[in-house]
Amino acid sequence: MKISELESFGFECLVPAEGEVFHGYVGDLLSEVMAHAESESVWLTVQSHVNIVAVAVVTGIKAIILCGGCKYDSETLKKAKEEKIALFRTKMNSFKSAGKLYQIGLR
Amino acid sequence: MLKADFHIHSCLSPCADLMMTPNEIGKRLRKAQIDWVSITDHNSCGNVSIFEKVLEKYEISLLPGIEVQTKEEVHVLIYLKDIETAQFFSEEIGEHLPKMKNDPERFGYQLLVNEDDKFIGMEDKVLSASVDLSINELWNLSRKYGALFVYAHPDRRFGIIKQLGFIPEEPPFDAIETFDNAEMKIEKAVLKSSDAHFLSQIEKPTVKIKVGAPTFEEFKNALFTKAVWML
Repeated sequence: MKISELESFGFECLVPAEGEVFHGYVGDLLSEVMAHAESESVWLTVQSHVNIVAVAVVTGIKAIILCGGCKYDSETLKKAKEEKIALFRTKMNSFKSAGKLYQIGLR
Repeated sequence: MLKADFHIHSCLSPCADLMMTPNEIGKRLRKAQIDWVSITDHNSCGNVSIFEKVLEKYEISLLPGIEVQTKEEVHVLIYLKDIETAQFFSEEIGEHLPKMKNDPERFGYQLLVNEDDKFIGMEDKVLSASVDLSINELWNLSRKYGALFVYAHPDRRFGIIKQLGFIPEEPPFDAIETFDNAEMKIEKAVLKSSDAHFLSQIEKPTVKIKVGAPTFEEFKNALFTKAVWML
């Protein structure tokens, strides 16, 4: 699925980026996400610290969705633009967001 | 040269043993030949002043401290210049905790003690929760109080590396506790601590520190010049 398509499923885009995602991962413990997330994933989390962008770069995660109405730090937004990682946010919690993405075909 | 341990919990910490009272800890520290200690409870300095008073009897100096849990669930040790500053800092941290009453049966007892090791009260706020401050915000607050900012147990639960994958470039922390990663080069002072939650965990000093006297200024200077050695 194209990253840009995520917006049409109710995820608000704050930092757009090119590319596609095929998988998904949910987690807030960054060391655990680094160890287990697949590349070309969309990542659902409530962790907004700037290190999430670096973790995305290291693992090949293309897009991050911040769930549960959490807010990004300004530094995170800046870093994501630099690193070309897409940032989204939603009021839905991680569980519901993951369910929605699973329904539309991400595995 | 003093022998020290800068990370010990009292019975105010919900996860610490009820035996972690001032005289019991004082006796243990004496036996372990520790000259200088920091009582660093979770998100509160509520017992720090009474510990200073009691530990004096055992000829042990106290460095005021607190272990704050940030929004990212990272544990940071903040060391403060005196008891009064520690209390103001603790009050401000208290305002950033969730407005939720502690349930001692579920989360653990948070006990305030007097100099005879008697329990004189219970802290109502949930000290086991995170404050609503990010690491950077906590760093700014620590600077406002002229305090020192040290990452606790980086690679264990609630440690900076465990939570955030690696140590962020910002903020510029003052020191860090020991961890297992031979590849990582740390330019700052590395502190070894017991993080004792039970009396039996206070066995021996964890660091040797080169200071003229056990004061905050000397502690700060020793960290900045890396005049601290693990034992």
